[in-house]
Amino acid sequence: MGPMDKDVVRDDALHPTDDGFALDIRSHWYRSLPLTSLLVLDLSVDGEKMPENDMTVFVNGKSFTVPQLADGYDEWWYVLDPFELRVRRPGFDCGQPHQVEFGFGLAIPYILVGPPDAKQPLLAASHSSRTLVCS
Amino acid sequence: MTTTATTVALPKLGTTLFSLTLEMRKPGYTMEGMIDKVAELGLGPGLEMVGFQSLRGYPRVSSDVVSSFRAQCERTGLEPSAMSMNLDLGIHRGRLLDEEEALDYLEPQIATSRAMGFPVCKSSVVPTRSFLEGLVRILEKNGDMKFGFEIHSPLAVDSPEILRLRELYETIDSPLLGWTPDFSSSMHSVPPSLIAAHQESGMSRELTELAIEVWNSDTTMPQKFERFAAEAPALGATPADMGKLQMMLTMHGRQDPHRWSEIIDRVVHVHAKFYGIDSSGDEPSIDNATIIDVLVDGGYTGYISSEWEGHAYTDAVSGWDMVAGQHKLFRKLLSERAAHA
Repeated sequence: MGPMDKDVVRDDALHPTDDGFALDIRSHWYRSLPLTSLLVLDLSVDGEKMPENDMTVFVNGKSFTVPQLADGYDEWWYVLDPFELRVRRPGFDCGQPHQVEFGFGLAIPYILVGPPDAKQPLLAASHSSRTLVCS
Repeated sequence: MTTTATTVALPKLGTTLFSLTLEMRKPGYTMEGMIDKVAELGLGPGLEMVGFQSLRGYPRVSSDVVSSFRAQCERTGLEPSAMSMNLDLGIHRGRLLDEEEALDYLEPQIATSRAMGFPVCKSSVVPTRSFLEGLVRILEKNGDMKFGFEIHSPLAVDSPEILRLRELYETIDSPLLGWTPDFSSSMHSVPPSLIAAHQESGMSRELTELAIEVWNSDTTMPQKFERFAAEAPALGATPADMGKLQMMLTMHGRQDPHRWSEIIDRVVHVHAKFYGIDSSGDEPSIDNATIIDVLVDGGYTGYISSEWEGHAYTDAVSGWDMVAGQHKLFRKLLSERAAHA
């Protein structure tokens, strides 16, 4: 785990939204990446895995469903900007601390690994485990 | 100034802003402020950056950003040295860019780099004659900008991939195609700072000693991986430990530094990768004196760009202090070299 992994989910990352909550996610890679690089967004809150269908990525003032990220080769996540991972969770109790586990996988598009005839982007994984309160 | 027959032309020093990857995440960061500080601390004159790191919206950069950057270089005396581009062959899910797409991907990056005043650009390539010829055409359209493929560990001057590119370079014979040697390929030891960081993360001394022993063995990379995989679990290596130590085997190469001379004629930029400066002011894992000798003997007078990469595993030191320490070491080595010309 490198220094930048500590930054992925900061202490003030959790926010209430109209229909649930949002987490500010920061990059553990050193450069900006296209949205196609957001390959693994594995979020559990208080031991419960959040369904992909309930998550959207909000970045550059736009909202993307998880399947839409696969087409986001021309939409850039600037390295210093957090994106919001918005989760539909009606009734989410922001008055309590929450145990957040976030498995994040970035596909690094210029580092290709694997056999010569099946090369694919390196998966740079990061895991954050935090107890957060809403801010 | 009077010059004598014994005056030796020396490389120039410089810094890549990549060295300051953690510093750019601190409150109050601006690229302009960081560049000013490079100048104030005397860490130029060469100034290198990673476009996708330092420039929002890169390679689509506004004319205002370009002109501000050029004016700042003029004001500070810094000289754009090289733009680190990226060839994101895997930018689409499930497929790689083809050759034509790859050239189209690099072209705006090259144009932006040129507009900002960089004389050299660098990225990976598609290792075919047609791709490199297409690259040369783009470089020619952009003021004969030079391109320096980076030879970075696990690559070395005699790796099959590099031998193939060396052949293609000779065949195409363009002065615009060159190399960027990276010191990571020619190290004599595993960085002590890396070992310390791994031990602090909970790895046992026996495990890190095994990794060092395997690194030092005269075997191929697959043989190193095989031995390490066979022996490390018994020493308590977790899957995460295995990943980190396999990365250590990959990211630090044991090429004899004298062998940089084989490609010196086409060197257009140099990456002085480093991982620490010890209490005597030396880099404990790299024979910088020999590398400087090889560069000077080979007639290289371009930039040696300081590239601190210890930030990948520690935030206990300042990137600024590290780069300043390496510059002090280089100034000493270059002045000794000049004195003995």
